[in-house]
Amino acid sequence: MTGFFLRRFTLAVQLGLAASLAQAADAQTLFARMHQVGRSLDYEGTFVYQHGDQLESLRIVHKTGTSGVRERLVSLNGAPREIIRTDSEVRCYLPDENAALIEHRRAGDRNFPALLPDSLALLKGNYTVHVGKEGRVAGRKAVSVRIKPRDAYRYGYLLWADEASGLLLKASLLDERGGVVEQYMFTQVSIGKPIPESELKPQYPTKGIVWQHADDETQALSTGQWTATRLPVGFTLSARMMRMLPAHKQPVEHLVYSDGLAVVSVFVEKVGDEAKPNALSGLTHMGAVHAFGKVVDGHQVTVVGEAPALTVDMIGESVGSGP
Amino acid sequence: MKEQISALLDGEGNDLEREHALRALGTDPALRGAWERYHLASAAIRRELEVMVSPGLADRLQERLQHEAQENTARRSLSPRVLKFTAGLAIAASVATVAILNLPPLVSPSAVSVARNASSPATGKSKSTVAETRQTPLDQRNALNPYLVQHGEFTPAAGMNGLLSYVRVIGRDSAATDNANTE
Repeated sequence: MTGFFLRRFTLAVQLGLAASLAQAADAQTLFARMHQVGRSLDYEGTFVYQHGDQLESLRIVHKTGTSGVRERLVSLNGAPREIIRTDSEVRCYLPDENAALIEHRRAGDRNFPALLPDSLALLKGNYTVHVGKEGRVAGRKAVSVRIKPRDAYRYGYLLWADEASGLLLKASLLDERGGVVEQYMFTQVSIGKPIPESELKPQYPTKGIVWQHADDETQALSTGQWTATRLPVGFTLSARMMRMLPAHKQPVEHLVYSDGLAVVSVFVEKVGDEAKPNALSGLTHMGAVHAFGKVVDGHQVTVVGEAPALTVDMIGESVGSGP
Repeated sequence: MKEQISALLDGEGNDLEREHALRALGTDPALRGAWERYHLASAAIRRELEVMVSPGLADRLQERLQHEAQENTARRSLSPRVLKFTAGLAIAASVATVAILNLPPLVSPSAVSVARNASSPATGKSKSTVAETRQTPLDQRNALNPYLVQHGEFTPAAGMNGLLSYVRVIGRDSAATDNANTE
């Protein structure tokens, strides 16, 4: 009798192992394609972005070429905001705020921490990954990937990638109960057709707008003055640097904590003499992003991350000066 | 053993198996972690429970019970072996009570509230406060934009090469911001 159960158990384990290996291979291939498509294919389309009871519509134009990847993102309803992103900088046009932010991007390490095949093994400690069903999104055949967190300290993801190209067509962030925190989905997309240069130009007049530059290049730090002493399981310090933010006079120490998928940024800057009425205090949220703020030893601490309240709160509360 | 813990959660198994599982729960931190995960998973699947057990709850309860048990030892001088077993039963029963009665204990990593159970390494003290998470007010949202743009650089490819982070900066219309203002 014991032998019978042992054989059944062994068979079940072998079958399970084989299935999970096949799943892993599929997920790796899919993630690699999803990553690659951003570097090699032109596409343009319209997608909806839903968070809470709000629904927004946006248009994206994505062009690759010898000068790298360029992308323009435009909101189609409400304030006419747009973002133009290249390999070296991000320009945000915010006409409703009468401002434009210009942000330098770090050299190398694009799309950090990209879901590359190598990092999939890293994810397994905190998430389970399943390549799931086939379906249709924006009239195209798509395949789903479900990334489920192993605890309540991170969101889950349900991704739908275009079967032919690997382009991500739909993404949902899920809370610990499987409820949708926010999602976006292409409603129309054209993949592989050439994009005219004129599509990459800002659409709205920029006359009279206040340009806010980030003055200096980013400086990587091996050690810093600030640290978060409590981190949820699986989170580690991934990067630390000094940066200048647009319209900020003081340099900002930027610490990046990640579990391989979820990312939480901690910014620490000296509180200047001038009062900052909009300085963040306590815990708030914007869709899936939680933001936390506090003042410690004359420094403003600002924490943002696409992670549950519990995670951002734990990290933010524990930030202090130290090695 | 994890199968027995799972069976215990489901109310399955005979008396002997239940006793065995309870005893193991009392002595093995890894099993207590598994118990919590099963409970969370079960609650999430059924979508019935408003309150979930926080990570480490079983350990905190056990710590408390062991502390009480030590005080009892001083008074009644029970053998350590008996104490350990009693504490094991008590911890499992306590966790089960929280799970079954759906009591609002120390917890709830939900989207609307957050329980802080932070231990200060400097003082060793712990605090437990619950903060409601409100929507970020409009003026603070605008002030957060430069941070979100920098943060966006590190968002993984799952968000379409970091696209989602930028969508959050521009993807909100006036109606959305009006709502945020009135909240």
